[in-house]
Amino acid sequence: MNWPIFWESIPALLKGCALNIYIAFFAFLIGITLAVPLALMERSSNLSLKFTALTYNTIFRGTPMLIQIFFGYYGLPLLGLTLPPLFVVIVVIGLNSGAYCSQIILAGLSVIPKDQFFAAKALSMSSYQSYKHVILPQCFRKMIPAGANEMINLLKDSSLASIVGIHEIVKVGTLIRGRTYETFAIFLGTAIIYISLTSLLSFFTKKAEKWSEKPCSV
Amino acid sequence: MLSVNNLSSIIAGKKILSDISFVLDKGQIGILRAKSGTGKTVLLKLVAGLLPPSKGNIEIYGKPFSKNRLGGEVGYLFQDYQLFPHFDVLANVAKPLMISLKLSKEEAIKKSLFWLNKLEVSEQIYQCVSTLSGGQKQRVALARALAFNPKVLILDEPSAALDQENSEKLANILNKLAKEGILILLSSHDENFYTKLNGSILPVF
Repeated sequence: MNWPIFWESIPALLKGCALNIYIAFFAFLIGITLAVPLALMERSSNLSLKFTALTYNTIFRGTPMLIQIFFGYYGLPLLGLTLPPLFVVIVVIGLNSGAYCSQIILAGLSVIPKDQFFAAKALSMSSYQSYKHVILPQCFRKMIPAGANEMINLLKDSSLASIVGIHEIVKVGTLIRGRTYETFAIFLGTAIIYISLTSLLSFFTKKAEKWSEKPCSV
Repeated sequence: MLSVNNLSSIIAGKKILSDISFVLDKGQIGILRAKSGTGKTVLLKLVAGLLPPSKGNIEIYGKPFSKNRLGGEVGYLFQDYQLFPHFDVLANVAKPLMISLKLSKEEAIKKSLFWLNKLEVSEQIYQCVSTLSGGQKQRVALARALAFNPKVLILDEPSAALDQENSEKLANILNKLAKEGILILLSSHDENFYTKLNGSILPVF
């Protein structure tokens, strides 16, 4: 093991890692924004809404993310739409995450007793008010562990950006390896950075879970 | 006055209730006494407007069935209280007033504290509802419903999870509310509880 190369590669890998965090963060924002309407559409009694959500989920959960990135990166230019690779990667990972996050929300909603809807209704709340003030806040609290898991997955999935030439951590590692012919030290550094990041996320998840146990006051 | 006329309910193709009729006056307590599975909860939810009837009609002080009367004219207490676990005790009572009646925070808190005080749960206002005893949970749920000044109060098996002391306490509260003019409709098969109420058993089941 070549320790000097290991230490020398760390700053460059960290710089690449910042891009992974950037991709994962914005993809998660897109995912969670899409997930709420997708989950509500899947629960809807309106068949066309339900069918749209199910089709979306089948496509994004039924195909590898790698293929989806290829479609976005190589497919869209065939339709005359050429987008920056970083934008394509963030949007595709976000769309993919939307499908998975919607399932997390559905699971969260399924454990909330139906009488909570009735309780809100009995207190004169409209459907919108019931979801906004009663159902979704409880659902979000219940989905913290699964949501954090999804965030960790996104962080790892963001390394797929390397295949379209984005200089994120894996791509940076590959470039250093090409220059130095040292494989183990480089990817050990990459793995350590990933583990540190995911451990940090797990730490904040535990904090968030503790916070979520406290009831809100007026 | 609450008037239920030829009320029927069919849920998922199954007939739950058939031609139920009864009338209750202001300040009366009507008791539905029947075995489990006879449709008492469905009847209560129909009267509260939480479920639509398949046939028949319900009139409350001359007004026909309407979703809008909920929270204003009818208060509903669930058998398992259905307090909101993400709110503390005060927020459970005040937030619905702020959301549904658009009361200001100060007004909602004032009204909530009045009822929580009256029902002797004012010392627990910042507590998480899951830490309350069954009797306390029920009184919070009652305060939440009463804060809307309902003309009709509906309770589903209110004594089911209470010990004798809390059960007696609840019976006294309900008798007082009836004296103040609130019409009360409840289901119960707890003889020790409903015999303490100044009410009448409705011959519907």
